[in-house]
Amino acid sequence: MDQSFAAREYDAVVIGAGHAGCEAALALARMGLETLLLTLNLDAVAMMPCNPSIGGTAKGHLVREVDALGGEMGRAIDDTYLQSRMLNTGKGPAVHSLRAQADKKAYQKRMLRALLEQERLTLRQGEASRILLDGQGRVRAVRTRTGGEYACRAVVATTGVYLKSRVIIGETMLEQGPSGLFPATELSRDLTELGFSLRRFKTGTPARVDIRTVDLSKLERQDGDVPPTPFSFLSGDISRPQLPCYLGYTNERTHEIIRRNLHRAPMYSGALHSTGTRYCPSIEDKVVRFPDRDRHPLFLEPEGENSPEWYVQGMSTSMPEEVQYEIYCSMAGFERVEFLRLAYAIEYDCIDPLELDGCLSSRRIPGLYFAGQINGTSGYEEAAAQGIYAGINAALFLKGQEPLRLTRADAYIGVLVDDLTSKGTNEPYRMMTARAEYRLLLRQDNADLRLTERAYRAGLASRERYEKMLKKRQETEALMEALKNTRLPAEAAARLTGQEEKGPSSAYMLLKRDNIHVSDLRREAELPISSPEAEEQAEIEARYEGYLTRQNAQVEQFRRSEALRLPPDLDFMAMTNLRIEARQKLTALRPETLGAASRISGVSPGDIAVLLVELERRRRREAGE
Amino acid sequence: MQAADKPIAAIATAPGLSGIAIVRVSGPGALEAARRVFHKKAKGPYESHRLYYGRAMEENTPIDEAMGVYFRAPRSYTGEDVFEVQCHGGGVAARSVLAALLKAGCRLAEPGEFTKRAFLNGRLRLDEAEAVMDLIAASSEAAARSAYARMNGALTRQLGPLEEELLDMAASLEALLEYPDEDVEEKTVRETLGGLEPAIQKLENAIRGARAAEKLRQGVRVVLFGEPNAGKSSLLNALLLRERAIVTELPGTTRDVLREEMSIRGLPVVLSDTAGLREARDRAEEMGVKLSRTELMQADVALLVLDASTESLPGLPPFTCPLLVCMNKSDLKQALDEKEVLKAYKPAALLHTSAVSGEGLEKLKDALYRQAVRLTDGEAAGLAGERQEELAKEALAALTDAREALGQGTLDMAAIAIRQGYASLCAIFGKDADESVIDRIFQKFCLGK
Repeated sequence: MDQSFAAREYDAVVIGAGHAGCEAALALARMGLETLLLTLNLDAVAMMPCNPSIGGTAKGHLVREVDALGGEMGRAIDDTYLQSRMLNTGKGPAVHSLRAQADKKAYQKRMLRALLEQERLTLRQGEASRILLDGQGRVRAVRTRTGGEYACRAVVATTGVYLKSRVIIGETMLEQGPSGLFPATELSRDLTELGFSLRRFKTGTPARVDIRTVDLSKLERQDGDVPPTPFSFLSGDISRPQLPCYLGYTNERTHEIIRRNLHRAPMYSGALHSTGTRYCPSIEDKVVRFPDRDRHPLFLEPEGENSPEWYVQGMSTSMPEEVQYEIYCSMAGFERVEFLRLAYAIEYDCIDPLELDGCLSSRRIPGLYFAGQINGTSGYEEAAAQGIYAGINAALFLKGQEPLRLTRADAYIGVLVDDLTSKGTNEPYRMMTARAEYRLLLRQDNADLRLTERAYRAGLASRERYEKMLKKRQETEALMEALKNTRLPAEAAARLTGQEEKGPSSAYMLLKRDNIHVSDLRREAELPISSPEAEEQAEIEARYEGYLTRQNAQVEQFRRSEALRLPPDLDFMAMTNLRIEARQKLTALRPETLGAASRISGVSPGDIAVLLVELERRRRREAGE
Repeated sequence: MQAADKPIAAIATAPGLSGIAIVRVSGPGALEAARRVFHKKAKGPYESHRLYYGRAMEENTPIDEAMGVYFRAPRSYTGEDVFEVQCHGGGVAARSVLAALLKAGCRLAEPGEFTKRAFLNGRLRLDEAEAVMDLIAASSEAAARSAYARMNGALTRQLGPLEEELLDMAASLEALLEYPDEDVEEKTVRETLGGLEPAIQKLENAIRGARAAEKLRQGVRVVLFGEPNAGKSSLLNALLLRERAIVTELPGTTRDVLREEMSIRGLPVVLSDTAGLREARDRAEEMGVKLSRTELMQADVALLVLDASTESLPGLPPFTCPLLVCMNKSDLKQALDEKEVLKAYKPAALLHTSAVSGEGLEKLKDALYRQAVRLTDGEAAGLAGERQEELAKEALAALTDAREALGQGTLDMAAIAIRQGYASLCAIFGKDADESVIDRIFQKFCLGK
């Protein structure tokens, strides 16, 4: 399209209105920037093309963090959930994780309303085809396929799985986006021209079945928590009737059908070369890789409150239609199943996140940010987390302010961004608690205490949110002090512990015992009134004091090495004292801090020492010493 | 990166035979850590740049007589607070002092780290920076080479399997935490975690093995003590002559303690002859008696020599090792009753010896050999050097934490602790633990929607 016209001017343009794009656009507009949000299809805003749920292990942490920063995802799911469960409750506070089943349509409507009601935010259907730069290589405008040029100084690209996407169902290949939507056909070429090397990733989704054709009596029912825990620190009581989910299993016959038809699965027939993820394996992957397993679990999850359409978690496949039917019908309860939508695999273009800096901005093109699946991640929550982070940093860039950097010691978002931009990923990346080395500190219960103040200072989190966090912090501190200063006589302590106590104890020491809660202590001692959230904080701090102290010491040390920034013009290849492997890795990955350099595999403590000495040498030379 | 908040320590003098070895501590808290090991005789606070006489102690056990100097920041080699302990050369004392310092809260310095800190704190000139980097590069290469050399050796045999086991444990536990809804059977995980206790044992063995290796290198210390004229020196000579296996004659660190090295059935033993224990009659003897006591505190085996021709049963000075008793001068008329001796000292072994006739010498050697074997036993010495031993101790501490956390049911803490243990173990082999746990989760378990 050579014909173009000057359309309106904005501060920022966000390309794509999925979970990353929505959070990015809302953050920009809320921070005072005129923002345009372009989407391929207005009916697909905040769509969940795969599983109808939000949260889960580590992902739930991300949603809490998005909320603590002033994002929308937490509130939207609290308003539209169908079932909610806190997972891992018996396994320690660091891994407690919230997950909710979503009413997909209601969620979309809820998010659409937030976008439409947001001041300074313009929503428009249109396909971005080019990102235009000015003479100095900075972002100047976004052009749409219909020729409109929207002037802007910052772009957040959140194209999800739409770049040149292709849907695969057995031998059938369709040039489509998810759920039969149009793909984005133009932007890939433009990104290549801008110097980005594109990669092909793949993911898949299971069939959607008509619940009226499933015999639920053969499946195991799973109910939600009563009362449910909200995601958002702003939501109060969100109790309402919940829908159940159902658990079922594949069997040997299912596996036999899959093995017999493997040659028709594109991944195995050689038709598909894109990189899939270990985190969401297809059912054929599971059967091939774990031949000893005689069954695999599956979960039936509702897609909407009054919808017969249900999602079959665990059963994603790219087999042909008739094989899909055969596979599903082989399972107990599914004998007479009818599909509403087929399972499919989808492949799409994404960039290499190593081309981004620690703020998700291109290292080469000022004003160009990337977030979500285009960066090689999977998951709505990973997308939303990157979206809000890129949005905040694009806003700060436009205002000429210092970026808001979240490190591995600050948030799961920090871990996610650091993993992507300093280690890269060779498959769709999923967040996991196992990736967060400081996870005892980065809990979902304290995301507000960790992040809200910084987001408030950056101009995103609202005053209401900030004050609520302050109240929780103050109540926790007052409670902790009272606990430490309150001594209970031996008889009172014995009543609580149910065993003989030799002498008096402080309330704080008693709280360290198993199964003693602040509410129990209140029976024996006068303690300040505080919210359940503050009590939870005090209990965790008392019970895990030793572990927390140790992690805090590690974080302290991490922060010191993170504070040392490596100048962008440092020539690692010329530093002959570095080992060759280190020289090559450092040159390729260009870490921004000494800490990031130390996390690169192949960079030894000796190499780090050499870098330290070099930094000091430069400092002295510049200071003229 | 290593903890920057702990003071660093290392032996600053070149290894090998030298009269004096220096153990250096640097960084904030150096004085505090050093004071827990070096106890100066003079009272009052430390003055900077002043040499103090005193004793190096590991907790309550004396290691050596030593000198200590405190250099207050910034007037020191590194520009930080520095403390130097000067002890006797030859390795044993310096390594013991270093070990005590590491226990007292220091961490082992990286190669070239003192010099690096000196540069970063402006104590070295700019043109010296290149030399510093060369030094770091050279020493880390050397460390890497020796680490590689060890990979194929005893260490791999000893701890290599543990690496896999810990990886499995970490992956199982993480999978259980990461995928609460899926078929990660708690039973399988519990089974895998059953390997934790054996893993702890293996590490303990390896660390003990490291100590045993030390004993094999340095010799088992047998200290002869007793009243004057009980026949200690002649017994010592008799042992040495009979064996005709004197390796070297080390000059005594003082004129009052004579150390002789010999081999008993192939095991190196250092025999120390000490001054007779009695009320000192003059200042020189007082010093001698004191040194005898210090020597005894460091002994691996204490050998009490009694004159069996007298009725004297002397009181025992303090020591912490097993005791052997020789009723010496068995060639003379016996005045001592064996039962009374046993009752008085409850020794690990009682022997009748005569330096003159040679009676009982072989039996004494047997008894010494049995004690020495016990000390040098354990797995073949795989852990070489303080760095690896430190890492093994870190791994052990982490796994002990994990055991406690599992006991309390806090699986998240246990997972973190096992990961730390695994990382320390990988570091022994010069490997990066990084992504391997996540890789293993997906190799081992079928997970994901």
